[in-house]
Amino acid sequence: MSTRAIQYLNKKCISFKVVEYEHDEKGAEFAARAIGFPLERTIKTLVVDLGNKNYSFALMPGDKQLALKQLARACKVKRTAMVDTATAERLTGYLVGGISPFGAKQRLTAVIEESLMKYDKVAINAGQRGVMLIMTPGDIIKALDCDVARIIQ
Amino acid sequence: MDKTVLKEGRCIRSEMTVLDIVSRYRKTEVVFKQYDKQAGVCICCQALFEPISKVAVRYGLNLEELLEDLKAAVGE
Repeated sequence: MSTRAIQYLNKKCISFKVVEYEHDEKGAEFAARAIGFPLERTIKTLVVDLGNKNYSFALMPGDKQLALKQLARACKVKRTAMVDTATAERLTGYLVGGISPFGAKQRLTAVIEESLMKYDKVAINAGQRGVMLIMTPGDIIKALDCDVARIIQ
Repeated sequence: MDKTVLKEGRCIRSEMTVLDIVSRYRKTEVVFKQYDKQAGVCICCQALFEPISKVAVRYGLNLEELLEDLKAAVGE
């Protein structure tokens, strides 16, 4: 199994474990159930509009909702908004349900929710529906050079 | 010769995903929150990528009422 996300991580010598599952539904909830991983440790990757044609990934626990105002503060912009499916797919080159912050078509900044830092391992999409990566939050930060902030409601 | 200008429809439809509705019409987030208790989950957290028709079936919501409330929130 190889995806652009996996190739990206391999190039950066970052370790991870690949877990595949039968993809029937989009979203972190189904993925977490399918791989037997806690939902709060399963990351959903959202694409957010920062204005002026700038976009960012928001890496969220699967069971939480994004706080757009807090994300705006973390990104030092006036306001943020979630992008629609078509925009997310165009920017990342991935299909919704298989969006990974690694190896996206367009290089985007990223912010990871701070509460994820307390877990030794988290699950995150590998860039293909039905494929997840298990890795440490620290390695996600290393791979993306992303900011850590409180961005949940 | 008359020009025909086609514009993208701006109405909320049952086949739209929660993400597409919330991203296009920010005010609808409040409506989804109002349905969270009835659904038993945070809809914007756990059903973001699902069409609202599917969300209604899965969580036992009245689709027509949900659509009406969403449309009312955005003034349709």
